[in-house]
Amino acid sequence: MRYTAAVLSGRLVRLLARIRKPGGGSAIPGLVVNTIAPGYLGHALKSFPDGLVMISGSAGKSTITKMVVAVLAAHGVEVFTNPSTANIAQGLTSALLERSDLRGRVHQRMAVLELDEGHGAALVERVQPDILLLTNVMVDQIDRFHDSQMVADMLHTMAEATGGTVILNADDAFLMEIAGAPDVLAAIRYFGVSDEVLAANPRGLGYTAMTDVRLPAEDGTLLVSVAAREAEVVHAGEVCRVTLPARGVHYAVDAAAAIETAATILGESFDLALAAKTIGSLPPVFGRGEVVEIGGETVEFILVQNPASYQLNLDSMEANTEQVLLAVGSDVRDPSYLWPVDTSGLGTVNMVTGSKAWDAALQLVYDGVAVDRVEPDLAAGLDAFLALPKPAVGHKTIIFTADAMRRTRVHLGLSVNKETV
Amino acid sequence: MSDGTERDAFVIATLFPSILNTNGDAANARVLAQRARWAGVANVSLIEVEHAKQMPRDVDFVVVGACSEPDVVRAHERLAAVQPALEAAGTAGVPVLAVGTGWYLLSQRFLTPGRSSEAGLGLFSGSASKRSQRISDDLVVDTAYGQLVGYENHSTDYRLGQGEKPLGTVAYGSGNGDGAEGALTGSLVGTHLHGPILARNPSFADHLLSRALERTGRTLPTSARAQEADRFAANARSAVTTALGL
Ligand SMILES: [Zn+2]
Repeated sequence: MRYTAAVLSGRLVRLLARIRKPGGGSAIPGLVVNTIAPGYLGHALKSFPDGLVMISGSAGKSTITKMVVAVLAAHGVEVFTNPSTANIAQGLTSALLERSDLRGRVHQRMAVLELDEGHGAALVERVQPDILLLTNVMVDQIDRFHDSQMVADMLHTMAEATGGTVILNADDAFLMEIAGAPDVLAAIRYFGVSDEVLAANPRGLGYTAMTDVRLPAEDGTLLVSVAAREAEVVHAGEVCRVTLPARGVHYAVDAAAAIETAATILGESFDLALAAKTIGSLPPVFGRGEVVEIGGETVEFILVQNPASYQLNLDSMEANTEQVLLAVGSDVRDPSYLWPVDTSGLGTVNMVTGSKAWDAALQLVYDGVAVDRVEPDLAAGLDAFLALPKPAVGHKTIIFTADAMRRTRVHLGLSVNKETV
Repeated sequence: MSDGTERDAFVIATLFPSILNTNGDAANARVLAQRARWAGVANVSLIEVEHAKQMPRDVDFVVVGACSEPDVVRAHERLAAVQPALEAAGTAGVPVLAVGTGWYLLSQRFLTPGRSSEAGLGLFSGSASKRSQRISDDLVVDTAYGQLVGYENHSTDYRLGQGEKPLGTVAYGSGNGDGAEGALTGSLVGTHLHGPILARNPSFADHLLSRALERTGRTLPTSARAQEADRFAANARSAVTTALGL
């Protein structure tokens, strides 16, 4: 009964928040409960009889979490999970409140949580994971508060607290330091890419530091080939093909990580073919290689979230992309964001739009990219680009930042989901 | 050259870009190289110096970007290893553009990640000092090369030293913390304007490029190819100044 009052308060606040802003879930109920009952979160997370899985690291955690949860469901295992917008303590508590009874208990037998590095490191002081997956260490070049070693230290803290198995990205040099650390007592499993996959990505995979040697196939799940949305992985001596939710080597690495994690959770009952089929039937990720029909024409959306993802997305674009719109919105206040990226591969950009269009166009011309037109008004820019005749090969491609994506979807009358707003 | 021989390459060096490039400041070297090529300057060469031994003996322009705070000590060691070359460049009148922490490290005193003050390389006579709050915002500076529009992100003030002049006066933002922004000493320029300031402010870029070329008896030809970029830059600047009501 300890948490009944806190749970009720949280629900009341949630109700009030919804009345003020319909449809808006919010972190505020979680904030209230965490303030009046600081023990609630740890208590609720300890109540999963079949264990607690945490997924953390710089990039890929929400994609992997969705994949793992879907693969578990396909195996008949329903789990509690948090939406990616709720990967910090307040949001997590709010998500638990949505699903808990009045004593603060959630009824699924297992939880699979996506956690931000900093909050994950703080959370493991209260509740320890049975299985931990660490994706990678990537640092926004412009985020000077988070250097690589700091992120690696936070992930190391999570690994130390893990009781069962830690699953690591074998290609990430910062994470591989965790594998050899004496204070990490969990069993270690790996996922990684083959020499061939790495050779096809000469700029690397976006990690701060790469290891020198690739993962032997028998030590985990190995990604052996990627071509557009098709990937091939080897797991426990078995080879299987996986269709990815979006094009790009990082989604293929995410799939390998999800397969290794689901296999670790499910043990004997894990079915690789079923896992691959499940991942292949996931809906495309919003704005990440998402293909949309607009006015009878196919248009591909590519979301860039930071300089590293901008570079990775450009590097994985189809070579024959002949019509490109780049939309940079007010979320990029500091144009420095654009400059660590090598955009020369774009060749020609037909339209640069959004409130930071002039800065974006400026960066492109210094990389030798031909810019056909700059139109800072996003709606006008989109309309003019979509009115261009269909490309002879391939399809139109729209690259946007998060703010520009939201406005683009609204302008085109496409669904806008909660996570992208 | 001092010995009167012709040297045909125009060499731009960017120092330790793997760490001194927090805000894409190393892109300024790319911008200079591109503007020089567009203007038809022959044999433009851009050297990314990651080890002291890669520092070219004959250099026409040096770019020193900013590093993240935890990297300050490492960056200090690297820069100390090329100090003689930097001093020689300064003596020879080679333009050196140093940004943010890269600038502080070349001054009398810089701040460690623990916010204690330590002796820098002393190429600038001023000193970096603590400021109470981090500032991350647009920075607009009125200078002899026009109004420069950029961005600042730091928690440091700068006090000018003996013989140093500011780059300009702050029209919007914080700059050095006393209404002035940046430091000029000889051919050295220090500034808080981070990221692609030379792309956004081509008048300043061309002033520095001309200076670098004149040193070896060359001039900067006008460039039609730079015009498109400079039109984009003018629009990018006015988007900022209009929003700021300047
Ligand atoms: Zn972070």
